[in-house]
Amino acid sequence: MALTRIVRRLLLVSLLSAPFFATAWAADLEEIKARGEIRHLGIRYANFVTGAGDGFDVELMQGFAKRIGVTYKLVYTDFYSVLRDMIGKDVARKDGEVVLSGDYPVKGDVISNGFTVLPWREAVVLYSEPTMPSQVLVVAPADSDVRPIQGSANIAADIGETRKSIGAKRLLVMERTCLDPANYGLRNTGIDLKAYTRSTNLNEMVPALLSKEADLTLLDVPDAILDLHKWSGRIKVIGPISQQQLLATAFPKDAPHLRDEFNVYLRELKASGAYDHMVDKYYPGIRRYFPDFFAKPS
Amino acid sequence: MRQFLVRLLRPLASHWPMIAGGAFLLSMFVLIGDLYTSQTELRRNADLKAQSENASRARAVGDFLSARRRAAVDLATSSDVTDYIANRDLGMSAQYGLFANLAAIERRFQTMIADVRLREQPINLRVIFYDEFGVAQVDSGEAAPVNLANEISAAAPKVWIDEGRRVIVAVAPVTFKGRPRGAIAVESELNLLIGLADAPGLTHPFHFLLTADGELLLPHEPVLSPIITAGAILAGLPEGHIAPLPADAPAALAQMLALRTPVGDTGLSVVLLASEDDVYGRRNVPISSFYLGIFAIVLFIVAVGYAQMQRNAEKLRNKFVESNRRRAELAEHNQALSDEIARREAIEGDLERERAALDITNAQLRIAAAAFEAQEGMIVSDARGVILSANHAFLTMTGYDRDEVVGATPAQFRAYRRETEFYQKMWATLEATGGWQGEMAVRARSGEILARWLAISVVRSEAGEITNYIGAYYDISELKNAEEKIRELAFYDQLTGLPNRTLLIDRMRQAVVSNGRSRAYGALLFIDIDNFKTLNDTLGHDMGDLLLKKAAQRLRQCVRAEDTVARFGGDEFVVLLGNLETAEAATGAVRAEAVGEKILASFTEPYQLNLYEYPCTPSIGVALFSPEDQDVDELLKRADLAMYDAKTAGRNGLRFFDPVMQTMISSRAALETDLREDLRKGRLLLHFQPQIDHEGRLLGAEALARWPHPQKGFISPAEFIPVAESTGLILPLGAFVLESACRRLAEWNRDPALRHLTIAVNVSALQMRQKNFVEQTLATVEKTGADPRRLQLELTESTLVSNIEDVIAKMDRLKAAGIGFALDDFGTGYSSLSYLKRLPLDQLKIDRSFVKDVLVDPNDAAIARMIIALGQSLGLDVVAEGVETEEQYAFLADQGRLTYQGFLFSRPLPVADFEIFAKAFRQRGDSGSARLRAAV
Repeated sequence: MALTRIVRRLLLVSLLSAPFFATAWAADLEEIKARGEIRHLGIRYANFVTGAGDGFDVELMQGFAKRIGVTYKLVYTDFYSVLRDMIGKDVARKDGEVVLSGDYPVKGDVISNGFTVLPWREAVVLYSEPTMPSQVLVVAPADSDVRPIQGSANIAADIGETRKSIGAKRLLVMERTCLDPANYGLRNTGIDLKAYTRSTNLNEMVPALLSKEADLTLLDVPDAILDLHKWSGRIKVIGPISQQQLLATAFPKDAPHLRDEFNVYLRELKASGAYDHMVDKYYPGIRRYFPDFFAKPS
Repeated sequence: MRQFLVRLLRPLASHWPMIAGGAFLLSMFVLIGDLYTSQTELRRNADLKAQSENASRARAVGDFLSARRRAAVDLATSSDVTDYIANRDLGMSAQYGLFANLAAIERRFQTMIADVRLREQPINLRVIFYDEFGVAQVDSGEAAPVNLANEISAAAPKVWIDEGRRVIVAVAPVTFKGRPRGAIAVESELNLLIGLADAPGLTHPFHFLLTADGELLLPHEPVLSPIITAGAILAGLPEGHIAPLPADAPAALAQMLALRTPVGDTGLSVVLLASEDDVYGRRNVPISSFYLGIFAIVLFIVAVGYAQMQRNAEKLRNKFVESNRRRAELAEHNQALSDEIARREAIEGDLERERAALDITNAQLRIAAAAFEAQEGMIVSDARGVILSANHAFLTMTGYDRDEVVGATPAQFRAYRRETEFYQKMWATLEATGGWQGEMAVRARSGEILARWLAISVVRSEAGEITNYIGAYYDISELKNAEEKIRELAFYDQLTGLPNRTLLIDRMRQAVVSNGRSRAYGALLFIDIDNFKTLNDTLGHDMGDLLLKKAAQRLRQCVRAEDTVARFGGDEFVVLLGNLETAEAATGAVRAEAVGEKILASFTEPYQLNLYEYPCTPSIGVALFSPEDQDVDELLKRADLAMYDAKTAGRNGLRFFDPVMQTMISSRAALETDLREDLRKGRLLLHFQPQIDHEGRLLGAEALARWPHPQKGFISPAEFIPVAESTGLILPLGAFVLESACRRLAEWNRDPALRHLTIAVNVSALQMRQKNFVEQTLATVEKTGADPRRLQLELTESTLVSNIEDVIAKMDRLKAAGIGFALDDFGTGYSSLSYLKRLPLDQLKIDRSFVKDVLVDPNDAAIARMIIALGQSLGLDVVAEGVETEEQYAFLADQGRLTYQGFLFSRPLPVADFEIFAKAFRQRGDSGSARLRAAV
């Protein structure tokens, strides 16, 4: 399996750089309790971390900090630096391998940001249980001649139809994020990929699209919910480009106790109903899109 | 006219009550008429009130239904709905695109259902969004499902009541870009209008809602079946008029009034059904006012009769009040009499108590008088301290008469005045506590100081002000004597009266502390009487004690007043020389040794112990202590060890604890012995150091003693002169020098080459203090045949320090005999210039220490110049001692005409060499000092 191969290669790279790693890892639960503070690495993105001091994940992590009895600190970062800021190593994918390099200061203890669970990321971090579902969609300006697909019960067929609709259009993507085309096999397929580099803020994808920087853009469902309301009548969803994805909170590999404690916290949050309240507060309607994920256990 | 009126009214006067009653009845009729009119107006107002209330309820129902319609319209035109339609028109699928819009619409519907409430009850039960195809895209709420698709085609919003489901239905069409795109249907709870009916039943006025065809909508209660039956009748009533129901109405509604008010254009009506009492209250019909007038007339007649009865009652009451008043006056007189009796009894009681208190006071006064004349001296003063009275004991104690005491203050008898702070504290204590006591010695008229303990008590007036002080003096003489005795026992030896070990150690501690400050040495002499035990064993302890007493007396005579002689225990004594007045250990040792020797000498005389003559010697150990020595015990130990060393060395001796000191003292003692011996044998010699004037002429020489020791060779004068001064040998040594010099002068006088020369002889202070110094000197001159004019005596400044008048007198006498004087070492002492001019001096000698550094030390050069100038101004010759270099000579020669003495010209020479020198000098005549020096 691809993940097994990635992990095996990652182990080799890790062994070679072990002396540098030792001092770079972040803290586990006990160290954080001793320190008295948990540092939440957050990226200004959709309503996960709004940038105004709140957001779905901000509220989630504030509750967690209160549970383990420490103070909460939000450390802003971006999609390119977020892993480095947590594990102290620069993470790059090269020829299907995950390469860790360099030594950098560890700025945070946990990434919670609508962080998509991806195989290569799983090689370098520990994920919590899913905090939110997602899916990546293709979005076009309202006046585009690309027509939305009608949708069916077969999601693979829907993805195929969407890819077909893209054709030779310019598709706006953002590398090393959940909108990285490599995650969805869009590279080397004849699609005119246009990487958005002016910012690492996914919220700028639709404005770039409307300013004609590309014909189409990738957009994940949480973002799409907000943008369809914000840009109502000016954009349209063509169809899906990915299977359903899961978003979760990420922890350093050497912080299993912290991750386990978070999972217990998340389960209790869902059981209490507070989780649904947070979902409706920040992403109204997403439960309608993913009814299975949000279905109550019988 | 007036008479006419009088005649007309007089008959009427007796009937005035009837006339007044008639007037009253007339006014009553007027009032009854007004009352009737008021009753009619009240009924009309009640009608208007009921109509107004009914209309208000009808408006409320109408407004409620209008609000439902507006809510439907608001939803139909909301952005969520229009966004959905816009996105759908863009072709987005419900699965991947429209879900967000539908979710937003659903959320809006749910919010509307949850948040819009009336009296805490949700108004909206269900909200549905139908598309233009009649498909319900969003359906929120819990009302019974029903398909309203057929109802949504209306072009305008509308609201109606679904009587079957008992809900209010409001529908608003959805349009987008001018085209109908569906509708919003809102169903609301009909029972919310229940507020229109106050309560079910027909016994009270209540309102209900009726359809146009007479069907009862609210309240929906079975008990209202009569109304349901009469629905059509009620719906047919004219609107806005309250009126009795028609005769064909159900019997249950008979006698009731009804009022119907339509609800806008909805076809509904709000109907009021009430009894006449409910509408008009329990008011009488207007005709009842006439019945009320008749009742008032009857009441008037009854009132007239009642008034007559009241007058009779008033008369009886006045009589009763008068009776009570008289009875109260009698009781008041009785009470006044009782109070007077009680007051007099109280006065008698007070008098009795005061008499008893007076008896007690008299008894206390007798006791106080007896106490005042007790054995202790007592005085009484006023608040200022002026004595008012003194008892016999006080007068006896002080020896004063009563007249002398009264009017004085206690300060007159005070033995001595204490510090101000003491008296301030005393007065403060008196003020604060009312008493003070303490020791206060009294001076008697005879001057005797009496130790007394004074107890002062304060006497205050009833107002708390001090009026007197009472002082009692208690005799504490015996106590003070006992204290003194205790102190003596504690610090003094009972046998010898000397300080004991405790006091010695205390003084030693004081001495080491004091020496630490003054940087002076002290000494401790530990003295043990030799063979004292043998005395005790042979002659008994009484003789031993007697010896100790006498030894103590001798010891005390050997030391200064400030020194301490203590009995340390048994036959051991310790002498503490606290301050030897020197910072030099060697000097201190010499002084301590001198005291030790004095003690040894004092023991040479045998002791007379009653019939026995007992020779006795001490052994003395000496320990010097420096300013750094602080350990008293260690010093005692050192002195004790030194004493044992003296014992070991054969008793009757003195030993220092420090071996170096011991060696120095021994050496010094040996030197003294040898000096004494050689002086006796005339072995000391004189050398002569030439003195040259500024023109190079030899004026004479200073005679200097030289001691050729048989074993040690020449002993330095710096070494043996201090020994001679400290031992008194300076007197025979001085006499030897003077006599030798005089003999030499006599011899030189016979030689023409030498007869002009003078000899200067040093005279010590000790010599000058000799009472017969003048006589001795003149006798020596005469005996030797010396020319006194060639003899010059050199005095040091130290000679002048004490008893200068005596010195001046002696100098004058010698001067008169022709003997000259020089002041030696001038500038090193403390000469007073005022005395300097009174001394019959011929020369000043600049000390060699100034001459030595005259070229390198500006201060010494200045002193030298000053001495030279002083000498010149006083007309004295100035001799510079210790001139050793040409440069020194040149410097001094520049200052004036001096006489010189020093190695530059010649060292001190034996007499033979000096005579050769002098003769050679004379032969060369005026060849100058340089050549002279070359010859030497």
